[in-house]
Amino acid sequence: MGRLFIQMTRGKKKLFAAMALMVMGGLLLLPIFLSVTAVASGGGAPAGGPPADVVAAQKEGAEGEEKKVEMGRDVYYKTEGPAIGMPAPITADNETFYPRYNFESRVLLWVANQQHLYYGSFVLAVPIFCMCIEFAGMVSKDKAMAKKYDQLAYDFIKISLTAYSLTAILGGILIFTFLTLYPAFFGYLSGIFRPVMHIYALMFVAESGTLYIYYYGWDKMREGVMKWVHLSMSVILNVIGTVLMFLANSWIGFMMSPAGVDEQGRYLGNIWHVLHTALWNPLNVHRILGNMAFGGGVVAAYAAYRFLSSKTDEERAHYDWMGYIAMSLGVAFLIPLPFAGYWLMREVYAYRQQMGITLMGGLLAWLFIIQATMIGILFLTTNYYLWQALGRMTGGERFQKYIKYLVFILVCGLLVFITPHTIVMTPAELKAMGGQQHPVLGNYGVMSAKNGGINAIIMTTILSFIWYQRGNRVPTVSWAKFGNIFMGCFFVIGQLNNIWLACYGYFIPANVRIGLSVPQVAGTLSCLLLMTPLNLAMLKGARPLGPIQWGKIAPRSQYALIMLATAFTWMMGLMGYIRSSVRLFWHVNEVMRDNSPWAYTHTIGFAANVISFNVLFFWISIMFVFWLGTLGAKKVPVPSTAGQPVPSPQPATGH
Amino acid sequence: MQTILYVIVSLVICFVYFQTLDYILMDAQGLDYFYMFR
Repeated sequence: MGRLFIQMTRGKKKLFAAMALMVMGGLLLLPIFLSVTAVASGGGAPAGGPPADVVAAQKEGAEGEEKKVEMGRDVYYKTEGPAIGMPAPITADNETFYPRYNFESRVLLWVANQQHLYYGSFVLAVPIFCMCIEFAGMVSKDKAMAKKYDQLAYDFIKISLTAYSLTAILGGILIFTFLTLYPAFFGYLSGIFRPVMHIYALMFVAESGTLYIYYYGWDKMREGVMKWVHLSMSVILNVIGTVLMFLANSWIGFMMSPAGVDEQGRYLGNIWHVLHTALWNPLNVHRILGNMAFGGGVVAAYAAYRFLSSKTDEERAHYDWMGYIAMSLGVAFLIPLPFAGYWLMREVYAYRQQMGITLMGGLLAWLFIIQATMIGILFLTTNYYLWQALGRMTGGERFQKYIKYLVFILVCGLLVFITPHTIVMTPAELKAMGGQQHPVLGNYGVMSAKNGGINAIIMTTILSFIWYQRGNRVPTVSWAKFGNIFMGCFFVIGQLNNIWLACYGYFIPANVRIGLSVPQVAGTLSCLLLMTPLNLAMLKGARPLGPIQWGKIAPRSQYALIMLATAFTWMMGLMGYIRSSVRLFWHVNEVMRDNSPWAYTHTIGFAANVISFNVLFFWISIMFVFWLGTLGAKKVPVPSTAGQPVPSPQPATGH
Repeated sequence: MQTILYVIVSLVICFVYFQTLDYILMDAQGLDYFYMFR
């Protein structure tokens, strides 16, 4: 076979490669096809009830017998359907429904779930980065750069491979935890999702197969058409990964905002309704962006770790570059993340207003203050890294004297963003403060003001990125002067408009004020989507002031990358806890009650401790993965671009 | 002189852009952007 392939002409090889790709794609997409047909037919075997019942019901219907099938009304879609599933079990606090060890079952499940989610997010995000970087390498005209990109993509996938095995192991642990500690609830959920659960498992197999071929075939498929086949495999890999995530999201979407069942929890025969709940799409968007930002952060931390432990300039140059690329990709997805979060919250309020109030203005409101602080830390750290990175460019020092103004805007924005409006207090605290809101600071907690705060932070981060892009270059296009002035005016007016909208919110009724968030977000996105291309257009044929001195960045910048990744991890743990806690004493909101002894909301301190434990556990285990990645690692074949040293960033003077 | 002209033109374009954006997006939600001024 191998000899036959070698003897083929180039044209035949192309044809063979294309056919192989189609066959492979077809096989790997087979589970998706199966899932679509299963969904279209209402889920094949009925979920939530014994198959024999349904088979009998169908048979009876076909024979025209007049045996009555009880109808149910969908709790969300309000449509009628045959109640073919079993009702949600009514549980009690005993060993039958809640077998237990001498430890809180909920915390055990929490840890297993969180660890699986961390690794799952990581292995879903990294192949997307790989695909982008490999593609960048393939279309790059510069051979040296193409090789660098290819090596980088390979480094990325190498890290995710070990993590992938751990994800599968943790998935197994999670299922065993469910089965042993929450059998009644897991039985009900797996009954409802029976058709897609098997598809999920099949797709997991397809993803594993693709990932292994993708990784081990890297060298074999290095040239020509086979390289495109290789890239196409990464596309397939990511399609499967994304569908997997969407399926997993449908379970949590169902638990928060059930649909496709009646008020007793009986399945009504439409699996699409069960999947497509009120919160499914916002969760999908929010999670994919979050996973990407998290994945970028973890890879950046890996690069920082390798940078700090490097012995040679070449290694330092490579890992400095790798850290920068990973951080840029992560932050590119971090910027739209708050907007996806707003959408999710908006849908939560639309689904159940009380749920939104519990989250944002009630029991869990303090956790959102912590979340706002973490978001602020993420953006501050990103900006700090970029300012440090300006130091490795000749010409970057031009911007140093303006950084203090950016710091001022960032700090002001953060202080407004983290100020609460309504908080849960004891009667004594309420009395001491003189009301539900603080007489002065409470004013800053209004939604339009908080939106103004975060939008000011994001706009400033975009400006830092633009400065970084032109750090060692001077635009030479004929309209450069106008372009610079226009860009400056755009950011200034954009910020002023954002502040104006934030202040305007105080003078108009609440129902008008809530709409201000849309133009505020649009203003920030305008800065991103209009100014970034404008900057790139201005930098065409720009005069370089010197090369980027990869590896010559201050080590403290690498600690910033590690900080960024840790903050991402902590925030993911926090938000996962908030999202799960909002169901309060329900397994499935308003359908299946949680009667275990742990159906209460933990104190903030306890929750923070468990989140911190999860973060520590993840980082210790991922360090092990990183260490495995270094075993048998070849020397990095990247030519050093290190040249003349550039001065370190100096504190600005004279301003 | 040229710089001043550029600044004025840029400020006018940016101001009109952001105000139009605010107005259109509020109007699309059925809200009155000029509520306070009426």
